[in-house]
Amino acid sequence: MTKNTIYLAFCSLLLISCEEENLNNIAANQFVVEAFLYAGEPVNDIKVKSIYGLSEEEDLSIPIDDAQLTLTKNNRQYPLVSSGADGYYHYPGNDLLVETNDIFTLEVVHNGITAKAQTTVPTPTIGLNLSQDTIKVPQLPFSAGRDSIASVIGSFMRNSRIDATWQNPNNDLYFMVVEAQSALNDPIFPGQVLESLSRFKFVSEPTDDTSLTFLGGSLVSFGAYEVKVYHINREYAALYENRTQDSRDLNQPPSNVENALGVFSAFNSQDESFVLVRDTN
Amino acid sequence: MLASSKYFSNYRRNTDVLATLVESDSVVVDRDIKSIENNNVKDFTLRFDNEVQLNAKHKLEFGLLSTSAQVDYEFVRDDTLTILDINQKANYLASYISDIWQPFPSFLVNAGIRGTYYDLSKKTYWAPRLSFEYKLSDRIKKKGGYGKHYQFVNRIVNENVTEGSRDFWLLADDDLIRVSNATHFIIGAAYETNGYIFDVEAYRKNLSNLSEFSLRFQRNDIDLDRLFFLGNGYAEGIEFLLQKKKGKYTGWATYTLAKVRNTFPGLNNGFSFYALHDQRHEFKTVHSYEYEDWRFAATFILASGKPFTEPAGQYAIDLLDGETNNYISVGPKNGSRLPAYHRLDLSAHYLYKVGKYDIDFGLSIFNFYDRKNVWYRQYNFTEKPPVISEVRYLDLTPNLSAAIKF
Repeated sequence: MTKNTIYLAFCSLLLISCEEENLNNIAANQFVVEAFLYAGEPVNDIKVKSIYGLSEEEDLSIPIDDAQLTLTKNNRQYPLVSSGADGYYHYPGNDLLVETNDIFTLEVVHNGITAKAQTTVPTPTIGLNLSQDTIKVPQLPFSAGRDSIASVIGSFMRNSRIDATWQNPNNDLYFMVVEAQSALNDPIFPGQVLESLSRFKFVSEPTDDTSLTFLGGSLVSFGAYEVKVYHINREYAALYENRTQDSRDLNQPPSNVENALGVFSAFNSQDESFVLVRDTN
Repeated sequence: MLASSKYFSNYRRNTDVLATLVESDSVVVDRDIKSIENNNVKDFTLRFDNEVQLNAKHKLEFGLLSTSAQVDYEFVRDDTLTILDINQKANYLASYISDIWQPFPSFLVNAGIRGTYYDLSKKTYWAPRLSFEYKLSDRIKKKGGYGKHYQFVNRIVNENVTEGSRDFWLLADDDLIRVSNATHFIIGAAYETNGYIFDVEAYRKNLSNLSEFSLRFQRNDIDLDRLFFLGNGYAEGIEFLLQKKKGKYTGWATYTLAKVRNTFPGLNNGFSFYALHDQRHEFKTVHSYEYEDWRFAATFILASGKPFTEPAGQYAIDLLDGETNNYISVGPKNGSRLPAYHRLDLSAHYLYKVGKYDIDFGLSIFNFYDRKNVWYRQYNFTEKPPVISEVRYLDLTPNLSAAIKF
């Protein structure tokens, strides 16, 4: 064997042994982003968490609190800070406004991976109208017997229906939130424990319809309630259209986050309110 | 010369999913999941090869070949959902010419070109080739080569993370599937004595227009642009061969150090990844020994595990209405490795003559030490927790044979 041939073999061995291994650090160190912006509201609903093991039967994801998050709007950067140990982040200043048609970019840096996502704040819901703004809760005729009480309650439940309607010429997607505006400390029926309901909040599934119905009779405390109907983006609606994954192909779930999993979306809303009061008549 | 070949592959997989609620002993899910894939490839070739010795230094080789190919592929899910149903026909006409030139007794060059007209793309593909051999002495020669090769019937990797990736064949249509090509560079040397050969060869192949099929990126509808992916790759390696050619004991041993990597913009976040058939190391040795009327043989193979794509974990997206979507996330493409493959095959044959008949009694044992070599891993996510199992190659398999030659 000549010197030249020996040299050739050595060079080839060296060439192969020095080659890169798997470069896809992104898929090897995946994390999940759940980030939502609401027009006119502070930025505080942004969460980062880990994936968890295949064999686990419950969600054992670990909140990630040490990521670097930055929101960018109109080329200006707004660094977010960790809200605690639960993986949530917020913007501490009051100079960041979330407004209609704003384009936001979210950058999350964790474990050497930079994930990016972009969303546009949609137009607000238009023409929101509630079928009634006051729900009167009748006095229960305790002295008139059980049938009368049942009749009054039945009548109240039927009359407590609130239809929220809005305009939707483009068949866009909306969801509704009903939330108490004040502390729930005035129970409709005596003895009810309100502690667990003190942060009552009802959130509907997205709909491309022009109305949703809410039964005021399902509430347990007198007071003022706010109804917000949010106009949502495709990236959020896609999560509802692809709720299940084909277990044969593991088809990739929808995500608008590049280099990570999850969703970054913005919402815009219109709100109305109603009150739940005693019927004094 | 006329030649015809036929390849077929029929794949059927049935999975029964039965879920019951223990408390009420009621059936929650009872589904029969089916996958059916049928792939048929037929070709018919008519070829005409010629050799003309022009003079002592030049020999011309030239010829024509015409091939007619037909490929059918059907992929059906659950009897009702036809994902692919492709029926293709194509003709290609090729001509080639090469000159084997030996300017000196110790030096030989083969230079040629092949042109192929392919009727599906309506294009002509030119493939130049060049190779040489240079004898340094009676025992030592150097060799090298360059060549471009086009492939019109393409092997498509069908990525399947849960059931093991397979492949199927389709004709290039210059749309979803492009005509793939490979540019080969080879250089090597051989040392040969009366009884032994030692050969070393290094190669690099640049691969273009590779195709891959995956259902991982589909949405609710069947969009072929989301199912087929196009990319490039390369294969490189070095092969060593030591062979004993003569005597009662003969045999050879090869060692290959190799690597095959692909880059598909639409897969693996755009990063390059190992091809499914990438094997870093492969050692293979075959031994044969003759003793009177007996023939003994042994084959041993040791190879690195092949790559596969492994589900990486689960994650949940909490929706604003309080519901949660649960998903499985998939790790780097072909980022994990199956265990190493090794196997020993043994055989013994006794040759016996009865009158004018030669009888060969044989006993062979495939996978003598019953190595549990893994073909692929499969994941059943309908179970909680998911069931991970291994599909293996053949276990120890004895085989008795008798052959009569007359």
